[in-house]
Amino acid sequence: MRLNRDTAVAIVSLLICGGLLINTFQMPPPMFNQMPATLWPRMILVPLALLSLLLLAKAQMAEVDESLESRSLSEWFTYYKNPIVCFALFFLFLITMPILGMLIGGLLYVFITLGFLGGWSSRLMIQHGLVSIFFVVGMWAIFTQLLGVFLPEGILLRVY
Amino acid sequence: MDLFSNIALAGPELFTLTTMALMLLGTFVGLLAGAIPGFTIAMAVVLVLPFTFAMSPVQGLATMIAVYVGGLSGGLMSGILTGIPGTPSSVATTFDGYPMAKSGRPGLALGIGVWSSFFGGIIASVVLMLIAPQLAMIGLEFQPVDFFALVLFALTVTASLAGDQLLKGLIGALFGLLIATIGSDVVFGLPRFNFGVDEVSKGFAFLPVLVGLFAFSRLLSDVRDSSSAGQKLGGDETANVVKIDYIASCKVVLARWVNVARSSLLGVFVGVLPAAGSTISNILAYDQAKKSSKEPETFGKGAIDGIIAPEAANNATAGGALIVMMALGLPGDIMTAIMLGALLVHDVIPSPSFISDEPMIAYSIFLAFFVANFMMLFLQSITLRGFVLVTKVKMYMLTAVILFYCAVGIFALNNIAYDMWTLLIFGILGFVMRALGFPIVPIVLGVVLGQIAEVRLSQVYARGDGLDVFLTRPWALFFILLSGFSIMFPSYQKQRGKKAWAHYFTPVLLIVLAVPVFMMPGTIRPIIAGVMALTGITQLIMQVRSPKALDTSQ
Repeated sequence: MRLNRDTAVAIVSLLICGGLLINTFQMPPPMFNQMPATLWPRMILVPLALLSLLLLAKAQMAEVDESLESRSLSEWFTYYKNPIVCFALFFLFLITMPILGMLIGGLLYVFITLGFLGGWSSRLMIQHGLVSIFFVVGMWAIFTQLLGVFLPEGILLRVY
Repeated sequence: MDLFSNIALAGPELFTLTTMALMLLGTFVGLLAGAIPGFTIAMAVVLVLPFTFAMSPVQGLATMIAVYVGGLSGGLMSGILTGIPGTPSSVATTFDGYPMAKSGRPGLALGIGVWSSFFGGIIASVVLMLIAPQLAMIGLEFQPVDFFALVLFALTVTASLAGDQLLKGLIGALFGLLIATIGSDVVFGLPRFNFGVDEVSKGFAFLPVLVGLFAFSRLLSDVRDSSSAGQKLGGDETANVVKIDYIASCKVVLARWVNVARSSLLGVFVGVLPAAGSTISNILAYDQAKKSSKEPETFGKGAIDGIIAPEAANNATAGGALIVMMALGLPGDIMTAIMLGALLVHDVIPSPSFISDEPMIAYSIFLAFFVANFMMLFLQSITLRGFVLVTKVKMYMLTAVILFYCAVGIFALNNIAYDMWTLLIFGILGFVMRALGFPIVPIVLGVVLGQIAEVRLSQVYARGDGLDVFLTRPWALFFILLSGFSIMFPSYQKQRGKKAWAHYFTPVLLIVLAVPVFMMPGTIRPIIAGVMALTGITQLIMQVRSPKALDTSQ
């Protein structure tokens, strides 16, 4: 079996389909002659599994793009470094929101993301700081003051 | 009472200084909301709704229509400049608008988008006022099975837009439908695929999923390597010489008047269909423009027709949705659903007799829609210059700020942190899917249409209709057949002029589609079916006799 990108995708898709299809058999039976909750998911899962099989077959017949296969794990991390760090920062932004709130958390998130993507020279840090303050505080003010939306204020701001 | 006397009756009520000022403000709010990714027109209309309670019905509805029209057009600004559709109705605008902006012509792309929106809206306004009752009758004919078939058709269309990646497009569409099944079923609300996690029982709100799949994946793809992250959006060389030439872009749009008219009429038609909406119409119009183009290979690379079609269609859809809401009391999309609520607040109950019983309010709404398009054009010509400044910003700066804006906008939707987690999860998913070569649009449309399809299917089931209803209902059969041809379309496009079978594609399409059209009630549509069948048969005979076709087959 050739192991390429589409083969992996097709196998994962088939596993998902199989798992979910099994899960549909654990759902409660239909009531009052109405449409069962399992019908629509099964109508999706069956063609999805068939198309995944087709993708698997195509992936086995296709020429393998060596450039895609030859990347090691560390090279892969280096290649996707920016998106991975951005996702991680966004994760931190969300996880710290109960403490920092949308305003402080947002300021830190935007500033650190700007610094990571753009650089940490003193000139850039001033620029990034101004951008963070202007846009984050501006958007926060529009939502809270103008539109009356209650954004999470966090424990820090609540204390003061 | 005829059209002109109704307009004369409604005019004085609408054209007051206060109403015009409120409409101008509403258009600006709509443009702003549409332009900010993550902040949708629906949110803007919802936020404006409480302010309209103190207004007269005409003032309140005119203001909300202005927000709606502004929002539909505002989406093009962020769609073209950042590649992130401000609203789902501008998804297809990004396909060519963003590449054109990136290739150093953001001013032209924006100008084309604005004029297309304007002409789409104006055409829709005229069509509405002239043939509103007839259009409403078509929407009235639709039964659940027809809606279900329409959803299938919309999904195959988006998958076929993936071109060479049809298989991945179809998998993506099904995957989107699967995402929509997570949470609870639509009939009894029974938990489904939540695996014991309570929060997941509520399912995923559509907007965090859309913004996650689109915004995160697109933005983070753009800043994947440091050199592209440091680039200016409009390109380093062209960013400082951006100029929007309104006259030139207007001429460009007018030169493609067939596309403008076709897309606008398609937009009105889709708008008339309840639950279909500008989310579908902009993609359908794009697809039609691509199919009709002499240069389909330029689509996705900055084709002018690829910007005109979705922008003309999405503004026109608002018109179609409005007429169905007013004539039948059926909301065509979430915005008209909110407006329906506003009408009820003012003790105005839309029904089939609404237009004849309340001509002043009804025609005020028609006129407001017409006028709002002029206001949109005026305001965009002022605000666009401001938005073009976005092209001078470096990509990474825009990315960081927009990601934060998306988070705030998504949180404001339901005021729950769960939606922001949904945003993150679908952001990662979108990025991975994109990296694996999956087109994102079919996935998104699958998510949007999944619940609609399930609701309609449950209605078909409850009615006890058998599978044969897909063959006996003309509209259902029409959309099912179109779906089949839509799946075959990428192959046809690839083989056109190369293989003999491709010569028979259009004639067979006409003949086959003539069958359901012939089954439709009335006299006009069977006549149209006869014309379609005759044209198809004539083309077929010509192809069989044509030596060119025979040569190709050898």
